[in-house]
Amino acid sequence: MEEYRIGVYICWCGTNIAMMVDVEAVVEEIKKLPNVTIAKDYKYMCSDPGQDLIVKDIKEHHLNRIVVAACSPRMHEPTFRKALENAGLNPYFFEMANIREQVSWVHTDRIEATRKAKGLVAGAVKRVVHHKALNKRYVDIHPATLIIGAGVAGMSAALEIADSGQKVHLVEQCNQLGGMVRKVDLNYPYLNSSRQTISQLIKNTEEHPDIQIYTESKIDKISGYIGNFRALLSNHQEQRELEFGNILIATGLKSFDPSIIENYGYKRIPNVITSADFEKMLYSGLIHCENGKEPGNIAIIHCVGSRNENYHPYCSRTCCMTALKYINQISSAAPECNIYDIYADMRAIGKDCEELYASTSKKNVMFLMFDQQHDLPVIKQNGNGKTVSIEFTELLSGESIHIQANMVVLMTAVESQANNKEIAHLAGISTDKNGFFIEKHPKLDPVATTTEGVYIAGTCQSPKDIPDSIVQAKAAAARILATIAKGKVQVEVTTAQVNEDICCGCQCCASVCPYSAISYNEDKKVSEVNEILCKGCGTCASACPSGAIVSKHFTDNQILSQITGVLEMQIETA
Amino acid sequence: MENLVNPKLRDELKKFGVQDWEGCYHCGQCTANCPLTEQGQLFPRKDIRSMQMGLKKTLAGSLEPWLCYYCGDCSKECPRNANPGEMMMALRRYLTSVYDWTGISKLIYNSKIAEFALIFIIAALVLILSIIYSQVPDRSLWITPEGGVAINQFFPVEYVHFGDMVMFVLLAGLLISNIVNMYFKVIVNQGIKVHFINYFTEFWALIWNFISQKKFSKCDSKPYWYVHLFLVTAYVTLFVMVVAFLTWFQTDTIYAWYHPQRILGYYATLGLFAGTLYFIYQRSRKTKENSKHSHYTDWTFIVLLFLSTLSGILVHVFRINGMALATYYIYIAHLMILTPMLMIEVPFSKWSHLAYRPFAIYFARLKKAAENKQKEANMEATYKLKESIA
Amino acid sequence: MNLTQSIAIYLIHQNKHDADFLPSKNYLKELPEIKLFECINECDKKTFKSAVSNISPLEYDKIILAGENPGFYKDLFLSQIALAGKNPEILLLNFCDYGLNHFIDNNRLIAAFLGLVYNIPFKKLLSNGNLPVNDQTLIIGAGIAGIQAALEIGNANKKVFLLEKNATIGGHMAMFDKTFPTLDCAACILTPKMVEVGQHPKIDLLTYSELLEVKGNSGNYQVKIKKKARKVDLKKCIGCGSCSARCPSHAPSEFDSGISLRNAIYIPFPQAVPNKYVVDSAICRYVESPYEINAQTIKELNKTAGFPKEITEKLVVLKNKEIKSAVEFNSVLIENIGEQNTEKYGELIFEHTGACKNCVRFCPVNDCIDLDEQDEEVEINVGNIILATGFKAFDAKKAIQYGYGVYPNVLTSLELERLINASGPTSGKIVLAGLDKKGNRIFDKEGEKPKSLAIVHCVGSRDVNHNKYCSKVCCMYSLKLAHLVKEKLPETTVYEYFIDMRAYGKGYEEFYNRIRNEGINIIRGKTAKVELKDDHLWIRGEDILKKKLIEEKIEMVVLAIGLEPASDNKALADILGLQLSAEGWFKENSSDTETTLTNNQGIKIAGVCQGPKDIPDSVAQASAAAAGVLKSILKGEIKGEIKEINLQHIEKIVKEQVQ
Repeated sequence: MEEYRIGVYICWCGTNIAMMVDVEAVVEEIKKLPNVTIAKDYKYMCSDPGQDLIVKDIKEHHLNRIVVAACSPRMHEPTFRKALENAGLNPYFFEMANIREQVSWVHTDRIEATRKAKGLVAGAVKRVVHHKALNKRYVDIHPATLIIGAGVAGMSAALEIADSGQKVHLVEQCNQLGGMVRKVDLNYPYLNSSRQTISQLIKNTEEHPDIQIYTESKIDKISGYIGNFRALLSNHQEQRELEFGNILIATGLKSFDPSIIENYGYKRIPNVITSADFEKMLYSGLIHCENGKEPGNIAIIHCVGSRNENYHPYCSRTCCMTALKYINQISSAAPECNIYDIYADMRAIGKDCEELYASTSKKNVMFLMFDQQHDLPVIKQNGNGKTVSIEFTELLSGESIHIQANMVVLMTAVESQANNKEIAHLAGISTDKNGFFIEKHPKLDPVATTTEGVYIAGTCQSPKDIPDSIVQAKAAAARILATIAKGKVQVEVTTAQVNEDICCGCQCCASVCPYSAISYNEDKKVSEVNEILCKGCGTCASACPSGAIVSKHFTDNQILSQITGVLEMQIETA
Repeated sequence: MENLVNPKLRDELKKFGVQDWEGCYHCGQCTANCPLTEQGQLFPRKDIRSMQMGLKKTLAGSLEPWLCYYCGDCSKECPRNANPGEMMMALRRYLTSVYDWTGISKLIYNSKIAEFALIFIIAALVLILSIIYSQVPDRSLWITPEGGVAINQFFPVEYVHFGDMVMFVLLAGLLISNIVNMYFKVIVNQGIKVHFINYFTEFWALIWNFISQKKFSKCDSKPYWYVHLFLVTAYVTLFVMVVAFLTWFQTDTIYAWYHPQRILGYYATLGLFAGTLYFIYQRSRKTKENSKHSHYTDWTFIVLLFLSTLSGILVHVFRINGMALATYYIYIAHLMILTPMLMIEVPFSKWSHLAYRPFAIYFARLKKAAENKQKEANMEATYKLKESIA
Repeated sequence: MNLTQSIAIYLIHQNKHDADFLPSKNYLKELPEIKLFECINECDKKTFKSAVSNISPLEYDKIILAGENPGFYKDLFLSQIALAGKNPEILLLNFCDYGLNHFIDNNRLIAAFLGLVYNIPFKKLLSNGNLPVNDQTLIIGAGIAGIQAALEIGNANKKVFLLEKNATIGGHMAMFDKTFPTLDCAACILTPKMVEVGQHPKIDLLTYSELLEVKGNSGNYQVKIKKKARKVDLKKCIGCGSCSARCPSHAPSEFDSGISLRNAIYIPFPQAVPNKYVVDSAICRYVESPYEINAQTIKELNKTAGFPKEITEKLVVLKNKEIKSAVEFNSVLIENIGEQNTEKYGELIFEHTGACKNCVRFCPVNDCIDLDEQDEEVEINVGNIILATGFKAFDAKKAIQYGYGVYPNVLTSLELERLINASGPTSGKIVLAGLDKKGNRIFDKEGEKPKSLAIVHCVGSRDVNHNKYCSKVCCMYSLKLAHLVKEKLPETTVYEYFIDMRAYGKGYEEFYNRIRNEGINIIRGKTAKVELKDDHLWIRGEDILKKKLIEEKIEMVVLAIGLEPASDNKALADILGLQLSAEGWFKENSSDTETTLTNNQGIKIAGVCQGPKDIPDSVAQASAAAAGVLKSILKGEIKGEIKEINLQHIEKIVKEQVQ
């Protein structure tokens, strides 16, 4: 039998861990365990010198198993596995104990936390000796890409990918390309023409030989895995199958319906309209009330449905600047018109947006601040039927005021598409509580998702403006182009495995597999696992009545010894 | 209290001076930078807000513009160049027109032509009166037997004094009625209940501030305060001498230089001359915050005052040198400048702040006293309530 | 193609002369489609009004509005036309988007008009055929944007040179403690990426290097790079720190934002990549004056406790004598003060002479440190260049009202970031600053904790006196800092003074709501000034919502400083032939669709060097820039740019397109 030489490394994570866990005491305790050759602590294990420490020790002390106690393995397990690889060790001879999220961040008693950390590390030490060497596997990448949604993001990504000579399938549920932006005339802050931009984009997309457009179509099913996806696509006439290597979801978002906000009386009071209605008016060139007359007083209310716990807690990001754009457009078309802009915080964040805010304040506009959270204005129809009055407390002056307006424009929030959940299910990704797709990492990986080969871009991830959506689309395109350029990609190796000798062919496993990775082999009368589809979730292993399925890297043996390790240490230190 | 906002007021207000205040985004730096602002009496941001929103009633009842001495600290660091200092100045002009029930003030502030026309009409009236009158007295007496100037023969002091008094009554009437108007706007219309006794207890503040301009010294620019104080005392001295004691002031006898009449005259002249020159210099250099922006009425005021002083000095110089005709002509010119200046500036234009500012301070104290009283009453009520519960 | 279309052009300019546009007018008037070409001065309201009211919309199919800001007039024209009942298409030609904002280039303007008239993309008109692409890429600036772009391209198996002027990669993000709104530890998410870049087989790190010259065209650039003398051999250095421990010269640490000292030979921070030492020539005693004992040295030695007078006297002989090497110096010392004394006091003398070479003497590796190393020039050929040079923090001393640099306890946000950070000078303890004997500000781990702390927003941003623009990130990082302070010091009263709370991104508003419920006093109203009254710092401001004057005694004031264009942007723009915006950010090709491209096809921009943005937006932009690079590499060709516009060439393209 092989001699186990384990190296254990405890990370301080700055003060993140060291503040609540006595790292040095853990090291002392772990040193005593059998098979532990060395145990060390370091401020940031994930850093270059931290990894170097591991590599050096492996070489010097001939370590063959490594345990790192640090943060959640989600972020850094790959980092340390790579370090093992660099030292010439199989990356799966590694185990990580999470003493940050599971210990230091959730406990307030330093002694107890230290004790728990000791237990977790001991468990990892016990477990790691049972680890088996696993080898990397690669799959080839199909060079085509599926893009769902042909708005500004979808088209930009499509063009970016297709321009490099790769095939793109662009699927759109409407009969036209362009999405939300098609309904917008001018764009802030320079009041450039979105109409020109989008029509150019549509023209380029439609004329591109490498972009296959499917309008009025929807995806019924997606199967496969990174590099080798298949989808069923249908429109009213036919159903077809597509093959592709990557998926980009750019389904955009939709406008919030403000009629549920009692105070504003949308659809009840004439001349209370949404920003989308107003945009239509601007598009046609005539700003008019329901009686056809030009309004002398227009009120614009911000944060309609945004930044309010009753509707949507988030900020819709674009409405403030759109309102400023409207003010400029109104002053241009009807210089005599008085504009009241009722806002909460003026979020002029983009390049040159603050400058637009400054220049807009010189226009015929009165900026009034309200409390979007607790004190929504009340809109009432006046007796004459021509005007409405808006009552609220103006915060900057502290006065409760009422203003008379011929027209009220509600800057409605944006919200996620109704079918996002459905799409998320098809593509194997998830949505957050607001219905937006969740990115892999909110800071450093805004376009990837937890499912490899599936990317998100544009407003389906969160509300954003046109330039930001396009940037995201191109970012996703970069990811996709990189995999295409490489031609192959590494896939999961911790998959399930069927022991054909024990398997009784009951097919319990196949019925529970969420990835449809298990099939029944009629000839052999056993179940078989498609290792590329398998994500190693372990559902089948726990369902198997005869214990014939084993999840690689999560064997019973490994898990039980980990538990034993934890418990032994808890008893010992109690 | 529900307030109706008025988007049209903006355009009206713009005529009273610079309009940069439109750019204000309410960071509050100006208020905090102001050395005169106090808890419960914050400016200038609050006034900018009222201006932006067109809150007519709030503006009419606002005393803060008069409490500001325009040191310019607020404008220096304004992140939007909204120029709150000049805004307060513009607001003073606006308020002058609000207090003035005749509407002349508004006319002067909104139209250059109207202002100049008024000046010329009054000057012409003075000239015509002088020409008509100059036919009346015996020309042979215009020169004293010694060959000196006999100004009291040319323009008998009683007549001038009579004219003076008429003007004084007119001006006082206008000013007092405007101040009463102001009182209604800032105290009565705002629903402030002033305890009767406070009208007397706070009165010393009115007098003291009128004399000392004490509040001004809290501003950082000391020289400005000195010059201003010098100018104010000089003006008041001369005004009192000319209007109330003209018979004593305007004599044919030339007293020795140390005679109080001459000493006081010199003090006042020096004050006015140096003061107006200083302000003209500052305004044309435009280096300081408070002299960067000049409304045309600022210029007419300071130039008229300067010319009055200059012509007054000339009258004096010609007189003591016995240059009779020159004295008489320049005397008429002096009256032609002085009369329109007083008639226009005192009740309707810039000079009115001489009266409005001390009264504003007085009213502000009344307001504060009323608020304190109210607070006490509230406390007492709560106390009683507590007691009754107990 | 519809040949019968009739078009009216209105050129609305700002204070230029109509005559400036005469060549364009004359040229375009010749075209059969153009029925009207009118120049209007924006400031001339009268002509403007009459031009608009005289418009006869029924005659035209298209109206083109051109100028600096034509969009602002579109609705004016639109409302006029709509009243007449017809709806011709109004097209906009924004000078800015066509590279026309800096000077009047009539040929370019004509090309832009032709593009709109005949519906041909402007880029197509300007393209000069396709050029082959070298598949190597140069990325300038190795902050998070540069790192991301490098990984993106490197992971596609294409060669990347990552140029960084500092000794380590990582940029500003490495300095942060946690990132909003998830409160992820910045080092924890950044350092793996740094390590990945450092170890990537396809990425060549060129740290401590500067761009000297760029020649060539899109797809093939010859780049000259200056590798500044690091004076430490990257291959040999083992990062043991023996050198730094004996180094006598100190300077404020850039990484700690100046709140701690580093030596002349130093590692920027413990997780630096490459994790090797570097010599700061500006303060190294050796580099300053190689091997020389001067009057200053002797004076300093005399002051040192326990240093015998007689030895100083002997040293006087050596004054101003030039000695070339450490060995020589050592032997000279032995010669003059004896072997025993040299052993005893040698180190001390070395420390105090200009002739310091302590690092070399104590370095355990042979020939690792070479203090005589000189800058070196290298040349590389690349096909694309990505610019990701980031930003410079606003110099808080410029906002004199806050007394930064005068009062020790007025900090910038970056300084607080380092103070909170576990790897900072106080190991993450937030303490009040003290002064050492020399009057320098020091933060002592055992120091007193602030009982009150105020964060002032918008310092240097949204302010005509400094920068007009909004720096975008300050609101959020201030909220984050407030949270971190409250977490570490629950007893401390924390204030935030803001104007508009700009919590715009995913999860940001929710974060704001969370912080609001943590007992932090978030007050609307910007602090006007910080004053010292009776030994305490007082801040003065207006609480706008409560209508109160704030006069608060605060122990520590933190200024949320904005972002400014990096100081070498101008030089870089000159080298690369790029345009800068008025504020000094790099100008993107089109504000909507091509925020990562520049007027030079082969040069892309990413991250904050284009304008203030937060980490996810920088990362997305970096990836997007990488997409442009990968696109050209995969296709093997890139569009060439025309620098001088040739009208005949454009006419040819137009003719082809129209037919």
